[in-house]
Amino acid sequence: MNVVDRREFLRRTAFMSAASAAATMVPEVAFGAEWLDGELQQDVDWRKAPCRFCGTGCGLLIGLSGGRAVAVRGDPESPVNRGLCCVKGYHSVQALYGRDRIRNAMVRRNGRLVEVPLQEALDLVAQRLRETMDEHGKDAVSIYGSGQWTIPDGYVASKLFKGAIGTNNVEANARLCMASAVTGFMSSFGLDEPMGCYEDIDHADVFVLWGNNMAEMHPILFSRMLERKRQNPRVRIIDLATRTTRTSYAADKSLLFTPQTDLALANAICNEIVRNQWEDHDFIREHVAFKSGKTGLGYGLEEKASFADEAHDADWEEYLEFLADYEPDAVAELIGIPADEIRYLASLYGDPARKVVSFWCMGVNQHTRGTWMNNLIYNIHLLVGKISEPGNGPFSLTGQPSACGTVREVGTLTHALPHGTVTQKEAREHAAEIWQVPVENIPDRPTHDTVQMFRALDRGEIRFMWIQVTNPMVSLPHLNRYREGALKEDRFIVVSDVYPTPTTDVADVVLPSAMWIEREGMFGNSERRTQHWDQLVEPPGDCMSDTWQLIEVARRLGYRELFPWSEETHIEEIWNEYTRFHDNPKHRMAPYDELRARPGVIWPFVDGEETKWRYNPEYDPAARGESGGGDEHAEGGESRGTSGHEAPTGHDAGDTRHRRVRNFYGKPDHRAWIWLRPYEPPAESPDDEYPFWLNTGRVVEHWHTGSMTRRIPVLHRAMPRAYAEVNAEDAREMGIRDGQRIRLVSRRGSVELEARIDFRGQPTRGQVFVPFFDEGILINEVTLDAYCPISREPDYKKCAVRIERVG
Amino acid sequence: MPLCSYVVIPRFGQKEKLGAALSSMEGCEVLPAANADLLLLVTDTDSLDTDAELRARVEGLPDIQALVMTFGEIDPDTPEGDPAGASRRRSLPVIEPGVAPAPRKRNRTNV
Repeated sequence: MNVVDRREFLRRTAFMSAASAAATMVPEVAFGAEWLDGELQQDVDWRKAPCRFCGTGCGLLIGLSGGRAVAVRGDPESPVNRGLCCVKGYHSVQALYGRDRIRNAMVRRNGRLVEVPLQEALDLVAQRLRETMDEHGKDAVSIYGSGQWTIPDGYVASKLFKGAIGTNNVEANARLCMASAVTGFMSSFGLDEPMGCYEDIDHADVFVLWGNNMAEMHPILFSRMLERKRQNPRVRIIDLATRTTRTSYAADKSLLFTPQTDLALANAICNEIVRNQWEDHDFIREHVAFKSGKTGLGYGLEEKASFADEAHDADWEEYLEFLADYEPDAVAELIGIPADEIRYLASLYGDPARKVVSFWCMGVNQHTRGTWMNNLIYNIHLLVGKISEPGNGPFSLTGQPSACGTVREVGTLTHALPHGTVTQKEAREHAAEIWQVPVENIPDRPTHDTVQMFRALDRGEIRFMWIQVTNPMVSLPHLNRYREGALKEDRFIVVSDVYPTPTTDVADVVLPSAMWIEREGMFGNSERRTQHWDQLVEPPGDCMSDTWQLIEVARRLGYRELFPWSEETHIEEIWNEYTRFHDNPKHRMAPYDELRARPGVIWPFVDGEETKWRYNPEYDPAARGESGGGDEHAEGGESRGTSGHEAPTGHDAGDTRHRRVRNFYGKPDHRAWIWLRPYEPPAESPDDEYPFWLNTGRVVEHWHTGSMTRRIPVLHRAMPRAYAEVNAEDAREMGIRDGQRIRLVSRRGSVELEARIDFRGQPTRGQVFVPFFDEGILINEVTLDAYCPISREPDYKKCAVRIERVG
Repeated sequence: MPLCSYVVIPRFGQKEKLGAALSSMEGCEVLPAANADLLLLVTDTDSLDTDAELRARVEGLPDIQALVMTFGEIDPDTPEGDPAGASRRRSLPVIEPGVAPAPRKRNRTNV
């Protein structure tokens, strides 16, 4: 590149970033400054990569200069973000260059982490892994990864632990954020992940956001939604939430419900739909079955809690009887939303002339009845047939860049394999054949979900844990207990990460990881889009990709023949092996070269075409005729009885809706299942001693636990520390001023922090909200480790606390 | 030495006036769009305090409808360039003097 003064270069880059942002607001904008799109671009090599942060999966163009990533633009070729970027995306490359980046391996000696050569650290990891297995058995070792694992990272981890070592002690932090989405999909459809895609936004007339602050958590998708509304004033955005947020202000209607009562609200909407005979009777008769499951599941708080749901056939009449308890007038007080508003919501879903998309994320998933809530939103769409077509569909969003691609598709959870589950003989045989291991190597029972895995570590059943790309010593609920467990004698903790965190603080070995564009990889986003990026810059020091760290340890354990790939081409070789698991029309992935060439490809990728709407024969080859038959490795095949799909009667003879043809091939009966899921109370509710609800979540500036975004100056300065949003009337009654320090106390722990009143969000009376990004204010020492017994996903949105004034 | 950029949306009809006001501020460089009601602003200051002060002055201008930050860099060659210096937990007791950091360090010898 031409020699440009560094300050001048930064100045131009700053202008370029602003110009790129302006172009997303006014596409034809011009500035009359030739260098803006001329000279500067000649100096900078722009290369594609998906964003490192949330599950939206925005396509970025990374500006490279002098061996360093210097700028970011939204990729106008990306169908996800169409050139847009959010504040985290624009600044993402700065997360590579924090001063305290981990550049060398470290091992703990005399209580302190000291730097050692990387090869020595890898030797030690392999040695302790082997010793632990020899002394305590293979189920005493475990790996805990993340929805930020690249697809090759997760694939190699699963192959090493499940295929080679022979333990199902593989979990990922996506258990904490989307496990309920998975069990919701599996129980309703028999196959995971959304049927639609982001293009739904361009066709919908109504957006119903279920506990989903998209303005901060998915700002690019939120922008697309607002743009849809700008172009079509008939569009309505409905915000269903437990606190007022930036999303609420942009919505046409903001409805605040009492925590946990979304279960009743969804059923009340269905009650109103059937009372008005708005259901699509042909669709229900042809494509839906009714099921009931167990109730009174508990909350997973018992030490070794276990639960297995059972599907029992039900029918339309039973469903009507079930819904009778949810007449809007009868449940309005419980929910906290007037009955007329519930009826209005039902009318939006029930109007055949309106296309409706429901979005949700953590509000629904991090819920002690998270699976049920997912089922109930599907119920609404299935009742009215608004599913699997452009502009109509339930859309479960993810929070991490590859929660779908790595955790859900590769199957880096204890029960899962890259295709199917460990309990399925044919799935184990399929995996053993591709992995070239004896099928007996793969245990046929799951071991521990995430919370139970850390409980097992505490109890000593697990002695060795390798943690990659995640920060559980900030993110686990009821954190005190799990930190103490990790610190116990005879536990050996390996952490692969890019910065020091509270999790590296408990490590015996720290491995320096190559981050994001410092290595080649793939992510899979919320709309089934797989995105590849090349290595764009060199990692610092001894940093090594997590994929290669795993391969190095596998080889030290004697598994070289299972991990034979070359360092230069291993990502392509891994991809080619992995995609053999999905070589069918229901899940075929794009070839490596296609991925490299395109800004992402949606699967199933069949005959060179993406499948944008699954289960709809018009768009989905697998849904056409002979390709059905139920997915041989899908869950939900436990029910072989009658489908209970008797046609609802009394429908409007004048209904002019078109006949919707679908093939829900994930289920053996080729039907989607409407579940009779009741309202049940939360694990812990406010009482005299702890009179407030505590809700936790994120803010737009920070990614999860903040270990990367807090090292980006602009983001750190914009949101330097966590705070507690307190309702203004509650604050007035308690004599709490804005900015005053308070203490939040639960049965498990306490934190001190600033109270903020009428700040970014406003909780309803009796609630407080705290973001969890701040490792100096560990709100998860206060939260409760209750979870949905079906998905085993903890509920970070509801526990009871009291507020104390400090000083 | 903070260097930041913004997209600035002026109030209706105030683009030229706002551009002039911004240009007159030390540390501000303005590039107005030729065909739209917006401006690009780059601020170049010599310290975090000066940057904060300038931003407050910019935000206080009456003709601004919206100010959207798009870029921010603190030159890593300067002592204040590492945001971690402000956010790392070794600094947290300074930021949060009332908060005792959780006991995290292992004392035992494992290796």
